[in-house]
Amino acid sequence: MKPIKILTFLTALFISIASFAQQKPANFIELEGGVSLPLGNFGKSRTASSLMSIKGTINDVDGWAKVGVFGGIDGAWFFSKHFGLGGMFKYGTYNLKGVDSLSQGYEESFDVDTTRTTPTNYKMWSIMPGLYYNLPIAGKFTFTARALVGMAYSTTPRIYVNIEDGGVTDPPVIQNPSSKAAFAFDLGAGLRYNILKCLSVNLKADYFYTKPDFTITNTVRITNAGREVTQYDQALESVNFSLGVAYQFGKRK
Amino acid sequence: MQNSFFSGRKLIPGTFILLVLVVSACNKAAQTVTPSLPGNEFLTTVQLQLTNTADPTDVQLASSTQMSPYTNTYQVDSIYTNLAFMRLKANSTYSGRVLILDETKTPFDTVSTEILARENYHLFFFEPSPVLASAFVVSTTTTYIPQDDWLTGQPASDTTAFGISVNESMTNSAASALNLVVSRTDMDDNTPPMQIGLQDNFVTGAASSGTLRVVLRHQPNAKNGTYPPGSSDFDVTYAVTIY
Repeated sequence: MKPIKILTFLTALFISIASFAQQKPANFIELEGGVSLPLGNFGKSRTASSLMSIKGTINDVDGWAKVGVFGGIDGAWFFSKHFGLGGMFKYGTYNLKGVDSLSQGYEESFDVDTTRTTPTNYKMWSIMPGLYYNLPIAGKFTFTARALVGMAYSTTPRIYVNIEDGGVTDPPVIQNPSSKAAFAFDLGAGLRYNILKCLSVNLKADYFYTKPDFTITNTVRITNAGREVTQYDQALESVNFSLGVAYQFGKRK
Repeated sequence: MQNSFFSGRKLIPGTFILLVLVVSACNKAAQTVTPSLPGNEFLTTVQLQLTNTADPTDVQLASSTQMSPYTNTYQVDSIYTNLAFMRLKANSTYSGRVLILDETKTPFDTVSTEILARENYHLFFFEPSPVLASAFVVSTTTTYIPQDDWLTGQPASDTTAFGISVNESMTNSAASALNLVVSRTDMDDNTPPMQIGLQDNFVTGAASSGTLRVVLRHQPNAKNGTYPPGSSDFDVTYAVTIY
């Protein structure tokens, strides 16, 4: 009798594990892309007159970041019915907004005929492992959420201001790009729709935060006039809206 | 076929590369050209106001203007030099200031206050001529204009009140030189501070005559104490007699 009891127990255990395993969400790997709305000072800009500085510089905490775009890849392995471990790798860029004001600020500060301002953009790489959550809600729809913590490597734009006055080209004002890695986190939620057994789309909204504290160098700043940023210690935070396409493992049949 | 197409091995890396390319392509470098603002540093008149430090009643006012003395209107292509002269006592020191005016406005606008506000990128130069070769030292603290930027090839006469040529020259003889040395006395807010030239000292030597050329250099992001960078806001010449 004893071996029969053991066999019965093992069979019951196997069935229950198999049953539990069937309830776990499919592991997935997903490609996502979307837009990023800068928040706080990172997404602010100024008027030309507030940038005017004829005796020294101004402490410009604004990031001048426009709505950016990003693409990334993420995936997760689910160890329970709702929770999984995964990670995300993302690359995004933000152009500068208000370049007209920026340029005119230099023009008024130096009192010159023409300024020609050419900025590059912010660039940001991030890699963030974390916890994934999955909750089927109705039919093919699933509520998803994630909390990720990792590192972001950000680069500030190069801002090149060409100055022309009285028919003469003066030395340009150049704010050099600066790069730094810093702690970052991402909190997001979304709605997944299963198109096929192995394929789903995921509409998500995420809050992203990093604070790199850049030290910025400026080339050819001979006189104390005009906007000059040597330190940027504001948070680079954003709300990201993305659409992802996921391949779901183990759901081919 | 469907399963093959959606194989992660093919779909995921290919689409990721495509995404990166799209993100990169979406960000072309923007360029903004800001055109001229109206009314920047318009000026009609440059005056030198000199006061003898030993005799406050000895005040000289030399004026070079584009305002017609006949119609009192601004003449874009003319310069009136009938008051552009000064008579200075020999072996004296005059404290001087440069007064820049826009006389098209009523009351007239004192542009020199704006120049003072923008002192960090303005620098005055004073070039006596004929200049004594042994005194001629171009440095970040002297007011001389480098020889490469001297006026040459100008008409031999009629360009100043006394019909003296404005062409600049150098001499080895103190007897034929204009015995005048100008030094700036005011400093700007740069780090380290540099001279401006709105306030000056004019030190005369023995009796002589010649011209004094005054140039205001506008040196945005370039002021380093030397003449070459930037452009000129004005360039005027006065006749000088030391008696």
